[in-house]
Amino acid sequence: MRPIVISCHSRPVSVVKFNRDGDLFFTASLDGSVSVFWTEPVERLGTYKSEGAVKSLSISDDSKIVIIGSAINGIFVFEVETGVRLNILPSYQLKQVEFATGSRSFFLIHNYSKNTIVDIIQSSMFSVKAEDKTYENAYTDSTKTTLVRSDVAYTKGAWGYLNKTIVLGTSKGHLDIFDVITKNKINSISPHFEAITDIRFSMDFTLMITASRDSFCNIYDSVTMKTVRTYNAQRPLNSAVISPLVVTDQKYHAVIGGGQETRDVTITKADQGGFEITVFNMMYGDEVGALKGHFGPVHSVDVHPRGEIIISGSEDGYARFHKLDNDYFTNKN
Amino acid sequence: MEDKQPLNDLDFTDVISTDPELSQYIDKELQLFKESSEPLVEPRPIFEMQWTNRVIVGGLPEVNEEKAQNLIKFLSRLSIKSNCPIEPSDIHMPMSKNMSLRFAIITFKDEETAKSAVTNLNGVNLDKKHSLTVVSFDEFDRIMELSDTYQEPRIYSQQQLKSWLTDSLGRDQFIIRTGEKTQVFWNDSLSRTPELVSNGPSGKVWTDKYVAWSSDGTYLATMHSRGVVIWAGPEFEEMGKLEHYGVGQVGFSPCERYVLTFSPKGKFIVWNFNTKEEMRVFPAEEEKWGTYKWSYNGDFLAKMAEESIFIYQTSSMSMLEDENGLKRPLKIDGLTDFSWSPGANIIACYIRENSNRPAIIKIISIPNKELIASRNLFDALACTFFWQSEGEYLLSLIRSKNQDTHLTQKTIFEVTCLKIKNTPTTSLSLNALVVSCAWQNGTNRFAVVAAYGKESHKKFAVYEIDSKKNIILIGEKDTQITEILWAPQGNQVVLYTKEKHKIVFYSIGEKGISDVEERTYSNLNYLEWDPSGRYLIVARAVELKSNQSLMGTGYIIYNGQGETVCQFPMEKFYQILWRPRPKFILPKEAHTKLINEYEHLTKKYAEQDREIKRKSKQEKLRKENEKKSEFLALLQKNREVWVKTAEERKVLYGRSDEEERNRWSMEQNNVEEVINVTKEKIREQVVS
Repeated sequence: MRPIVISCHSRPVSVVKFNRDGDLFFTASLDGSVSVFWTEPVERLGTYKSEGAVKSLSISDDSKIVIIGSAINGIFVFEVETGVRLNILPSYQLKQVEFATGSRSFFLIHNYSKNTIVDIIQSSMFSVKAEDKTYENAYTDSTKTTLVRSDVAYTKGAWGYLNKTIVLGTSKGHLDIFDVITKNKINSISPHFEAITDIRFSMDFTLMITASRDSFCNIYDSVTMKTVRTYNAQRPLNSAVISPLVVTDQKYHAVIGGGQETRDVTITKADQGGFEITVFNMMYGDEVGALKGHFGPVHSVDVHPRGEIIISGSEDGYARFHKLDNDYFTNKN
Repeated sequence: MEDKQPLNDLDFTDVISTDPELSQYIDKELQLFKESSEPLVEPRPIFEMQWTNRVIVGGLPEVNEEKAQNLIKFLSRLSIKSNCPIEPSDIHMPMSKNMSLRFAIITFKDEETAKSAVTNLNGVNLDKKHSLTVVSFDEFDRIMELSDTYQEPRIYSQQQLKSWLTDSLGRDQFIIRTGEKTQVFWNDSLSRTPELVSNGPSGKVWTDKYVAWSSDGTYLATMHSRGVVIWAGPEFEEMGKLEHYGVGQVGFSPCERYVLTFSPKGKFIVWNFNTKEEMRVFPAEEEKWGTYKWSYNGDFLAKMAEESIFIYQTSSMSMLEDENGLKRPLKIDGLTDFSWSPGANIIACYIRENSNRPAIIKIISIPNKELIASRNLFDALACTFFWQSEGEYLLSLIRSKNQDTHLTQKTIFEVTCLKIKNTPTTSLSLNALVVSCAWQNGTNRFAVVAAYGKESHKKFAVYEIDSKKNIILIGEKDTQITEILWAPQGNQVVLYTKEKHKIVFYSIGEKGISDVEERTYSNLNYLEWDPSGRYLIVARAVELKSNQSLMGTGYIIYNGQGETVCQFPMEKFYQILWRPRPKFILPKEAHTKLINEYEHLTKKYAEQDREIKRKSKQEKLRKENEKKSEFLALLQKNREVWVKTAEERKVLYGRSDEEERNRWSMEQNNVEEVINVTKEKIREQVVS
């Protein structure tokens, strides 16, 4: 298996994501541009230009709309196929933007002075119909639901099963679970002791994975929120995802990526900083293998919906596309 | 607060007039200030804390109110006579139901007079029936805290102390210091994970500084800010404390009878280990840890200063006497270096050359100061001593001027054979600069890494002293690495360079140097063979006080062939030490018996190993199956939720699961396009 190195960004790659069908993938970077590629063959379709570093990215279920969250300049809504910019929505310091299942609403996590605000916005409230290509700024305070927290910042979030809940991770390692309708906190746990950098559910919402800067990655029972497995990755983690092969009982793997921030380390060699992507078996809690090649901390990893491809984006400005070969599937692990 | 001008009195009107918005802020501050200056609770009563200048006097007669005053006056007169003046008002005699309670508390002017009162007045008779008992309050507290039943002092038997040596699997122990944890492990090569022996006293941090083993491994010393604590026994129970504020290093004498503790820029203290008493204190202004050196059996302690050697007899800690019976250090003109033999109470001294005479090496026996051997060296610039581990040979490495070419330096190896009559010396000369040198334990071989000509051309060579007492070369190899570490038993040797990456394993045999195994480890800074010579620890440690969260710290254990037994990278890794074993001598009959039974024994142990491996494999399999079933059960349970909620999902996605799966399919069409057609003549076919 030879990875394909994608170098179309001049600054670090912040997010890499597959769409729901798996035929496209997006790479976003701090240089303000988002590129979209065909998965088969790996060919760039186009680039969406936004302003300011792109921190977060979300694609609608039908792959018609992509919303790109830039760090301070707001949220840009683009039409995927044509690249036309449909809307710019205001936001403060943005952390994450994420479509719900079914893409009828999405949440934003952003910071305003010392508060972290999570806005849940109805997608239909802004003119995102593909025919109506206007630049209206269509959302107001009355069309969103807001959760606010002042003492500690939320860093990442995920929609729960059937959009009934939102799971939010804080910079101190707590996880808060909110009910979307009543806006009440229904559960709160502290599985980590440093910032949570990624929260994702498996494709069938049976398991949840969190990655944290304390070098641990936890697997939870998504119903009871109890920690089922813990994996020590020996380096601060930035991203974690559960392979879709869990749904069909083919493999029980999760993929994680991270690495020591360059500012934390005075002298590190490429093989010491922990910049490889680790695939580990959730059932036994041991490592299956590692994909090496990045020479900067890995910011984002994602797995194709069919489980055959792993993509990653890192601080070094490169995104890597790894197609797993037959050995991966025939191996017992 | 009382010193500064109270806030209430300050006038803010002019400030407010310029900036009216400030008034709100100022009012708030004034309010806060008013609230804080009002006392909320009554001030706490102040307790008398001074007890060191008071004593308790017991054994007084029981008296009533009137006679009490007389008694007090009598006591005060008594004390004045014994040089501890007190007023009657300083004596407090508590009464109960008009009768005294037969004791009094006396307050003295200061701690000194109180102490003298205890010595002077204790036991003094008042009259035929009453005699005073005077004790200080500390003593009183200590007596009251003693338990009512007699507790025998804990005595450890030799068997308990040395219990780790009788491990059925013959394993060795090691201790590690990481972060707040201090742990002792068995090195278990079969299971490939160290087995925990002890975490220290339960619930407490064992130490936040360094640890050290005693020279034979019987005791563990942990360092704390107040001093050193000694632990022993199979469970590492506390055995004693040595108080030495700011201790930085601790070392046991080779016989484990004495302990030396050192605090940088403070002092050296020599302790008697059995009684835990200080025997002698030396100030240590600029001196470092290795200044005081023990003789091979701990009978003597010596240090070198200003061309003399201060030698102390450890049992009395008094300096050795010279010819005139006076306690004087051994003065030797031009003395630069000295070294104790590890096999007898003998020192080797190097005296540098001066204008009158060449350099000399002298070997002197202690305590009689008899000269055993003496050797003149010509053109010597410097000399370093390397004793063989049993004291049989002394290797003096002499760097001397090269007469032929003044560019390169010459090194002369001089080996003095001490266990032979007349102590002959043999020598070998090399046109090279020696970088490192080490004897193999208990044998007549030593290894040398020397740089020939240019710096980069280094050679690793092993020499042997043969029966004719000549130095012969056994084997030689080119190398880039400089430090040598022999295994304490066996023929393995490891070459390494600190702060670099390569370690090379060699095996020395009759054929010379053989079996090279190379390993890389990032920036190692500590290597140690275990006492049996089978396993090597390679570690990277950081300083205790460093704030660096350096990656790559931790340790690896290799076996003699360079195979990894186990590997543990861990943060904040400070220290790792093998537990030493005592030197032990097997009687000849037992030795020959073992050699005869060798084959039988290897079979037995191999069978034992196989059994252990099999058991651990079974256990591992069982655990894995447990994990698997647990995980699958969880997935099953949650999948039921997924199945049940199919309808709701249909609403969200706008289609059912079936439709989802069939939403799109991928087709691969191969389109062939004819670009070009060419005809080419390959061969003529002749048709006849």
